[in-house]
Amino acid sequence: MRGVTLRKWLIVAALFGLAVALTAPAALAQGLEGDGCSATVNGRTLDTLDIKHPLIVEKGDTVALTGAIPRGADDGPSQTKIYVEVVGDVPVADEPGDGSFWGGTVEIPEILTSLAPGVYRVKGTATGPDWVCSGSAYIKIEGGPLTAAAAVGAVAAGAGGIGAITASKPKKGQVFYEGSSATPETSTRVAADILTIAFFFLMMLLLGIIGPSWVV
Amino acid sequence: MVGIPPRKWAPGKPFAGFRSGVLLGIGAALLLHQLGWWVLDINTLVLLPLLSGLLFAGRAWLGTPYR
Repeated sequence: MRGVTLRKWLIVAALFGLAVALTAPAALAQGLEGDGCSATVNGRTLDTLDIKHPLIVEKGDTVALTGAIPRGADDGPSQTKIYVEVVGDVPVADEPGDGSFWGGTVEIPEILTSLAPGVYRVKGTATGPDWVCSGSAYIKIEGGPLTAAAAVGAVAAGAGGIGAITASKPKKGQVFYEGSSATPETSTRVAADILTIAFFFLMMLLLGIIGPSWVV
Repeated sequence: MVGIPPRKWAPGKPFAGFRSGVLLGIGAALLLHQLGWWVLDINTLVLLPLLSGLLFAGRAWLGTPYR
């Protein structure tokens, strides 16, 4: 019996480790791409706006991505597209340009500050006649102390956590040990729960480091 | 049989564990985004809940020990 249990643990741990290893995402870096390009967001260079030091914005503020095209490049018409990353790239601006500069401006909508403030990665890509410039930076949208996303998150985490722990109890009336007066082994059960929760936090830690990072 | 009876594990409900784990993962992703720990992307909003679901499904599959 002990061998069966150990095998179950090993299978769960192996599958979990494999899933994390296979799906480990690349680091979400920020900065500038394109030879000879330059760019700033609200006057700050992109390399300074990492997840630990994002640009702080509030309701009604604008985020202006501006930059210069490579020296000697054709300064004809260009197009700048700006995206916010939320499970994929969500386009928020598409602005035409001309001359030796590229960029675009986005106003922070009120709905975002009240529903889902937080840290976001903003990306911009500009395409000219013979050049391409792109860059990304982190911004932090400030909201109130209690937001809809925080409330939903807290309720979901609470309900999910209780359900996740109670799901390990056997079904009612389940006979697995016929003729015995078996009683639950609380200490072993608690140890298994603690180990599982430790795995959960380890997973968040891994994804937090690999995804972006710790504390802003 | 004399002595300590063998430990037996009664399996729980893996599908319920998966559902709850997914919910827990989504809730944690939203909360930690609000706290400024990370951005909402495919890793935190999709990968984390799925892995969490698998983890707690595994825990439920293991079940409860009896002796």
